Amino acid sequence: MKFKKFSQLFALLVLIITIFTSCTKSNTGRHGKELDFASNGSKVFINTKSSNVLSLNIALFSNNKISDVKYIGLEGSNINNADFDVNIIDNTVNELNRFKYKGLYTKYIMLEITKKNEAVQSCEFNKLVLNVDGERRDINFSTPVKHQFVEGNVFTEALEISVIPNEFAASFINNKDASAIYEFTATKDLTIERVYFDDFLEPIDIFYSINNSQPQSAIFPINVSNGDQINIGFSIDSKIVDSNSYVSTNLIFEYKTNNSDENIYNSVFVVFDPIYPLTDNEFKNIEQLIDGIISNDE
Amino acid sequence: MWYGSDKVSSGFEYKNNTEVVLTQSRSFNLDSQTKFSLNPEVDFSGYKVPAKVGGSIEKTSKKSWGITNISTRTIEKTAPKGYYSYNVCMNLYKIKIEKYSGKTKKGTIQFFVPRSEAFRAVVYNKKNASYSGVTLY
Repeated sequence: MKFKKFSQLFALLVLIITIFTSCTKSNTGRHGKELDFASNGSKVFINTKSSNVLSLNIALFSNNKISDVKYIGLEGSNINNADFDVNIIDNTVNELNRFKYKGLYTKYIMLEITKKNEAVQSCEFNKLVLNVDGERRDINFSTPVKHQFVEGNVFTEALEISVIPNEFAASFINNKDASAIYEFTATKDLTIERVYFDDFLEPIDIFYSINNSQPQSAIFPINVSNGDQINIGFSIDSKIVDSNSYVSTNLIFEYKTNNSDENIYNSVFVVFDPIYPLTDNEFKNIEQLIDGIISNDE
Repeated sequence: MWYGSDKVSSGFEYKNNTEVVLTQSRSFNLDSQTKFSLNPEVDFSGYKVPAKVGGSIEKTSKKSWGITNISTRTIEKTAPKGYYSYNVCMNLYKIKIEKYSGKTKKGTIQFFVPRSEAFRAVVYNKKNASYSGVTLY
């Protein structure tokens, strides 16, 4: 009798564990429907300047391994598809190809958009239409993708660049331990007036050092003499984006030379990526991204 | 910051008056560089060193990337002439430990351990294809 009761209790326990485990591994969203396809479109934030091309990575998640992605079109308030060539590149490394989480595989694609018509100065869109393994898929961007076909990396003579970080893991965002440090050499006497991102992000806790002296908190303007080497570092703060976001914008170092009132600037095209770099075979950041997308269940 | 090795850069490219799109490295191993500078007999557990060490690094890291966004490694034609490269970098802690027996200094070790996720950066040298003009810190 005792043995029978124990067996029943054991069977019940096994049932509960099985149900619990299957729930945590499933990708059932808040509407109770299992996802067969999703993207990180709601976490893509682009407002950039670059003279020749707009390129961005987009993550596609599917319960089948994706083998073929073709471009159909872009939709938005300021986009005429006839003005652009759009190239899709499979940007999935081998490690990522083998990865599966909550029933979803990840395919990372790079979109390269170049203008056919010289007169086109900008584009803005909020939907990308793809053919994924024979099925039409709409990738909706909650924040419209904006791009101007001007400038990009602007490096000037007076504040000569030395080391310019511009492609980061998204884990740098809102992480006070992960600062970005930029290194320049002044070829004229000058004052650095301010450092800022065009959109989404804010440099905080800015510090600098001249000729490798002890770093100090930055109060602008910063005077730099001809021949000095200056390092400027900061953490990256945002109330709009986070470590699951794909973010791209421009970072500006604005300065004046001492014999002129003209504002000059170095501009850097920067990218924050939620997938790359991959470290060993750890995929926590991607799991976090997928969890967020499942819970939003677009 | 750490950079400037043939393992993490595809080398300098000279830019004259035209635009240059820098080539890129796609993956590298962190273990060999870090192990190189470690003293295998020191136990770091009491120093809050943010790496699994103790005898040697127990956990090594391989970093992999996809293709880089072309805009990040495009050097516009208006940029100064000189040597440009596109590198994998990493912020590091520079750790220096001095060992004493009473008041007698027995030795010093100095090494770097990772402080941040890796990132990519444009590195410029006006005069030659070397990292001599930039600082390792």
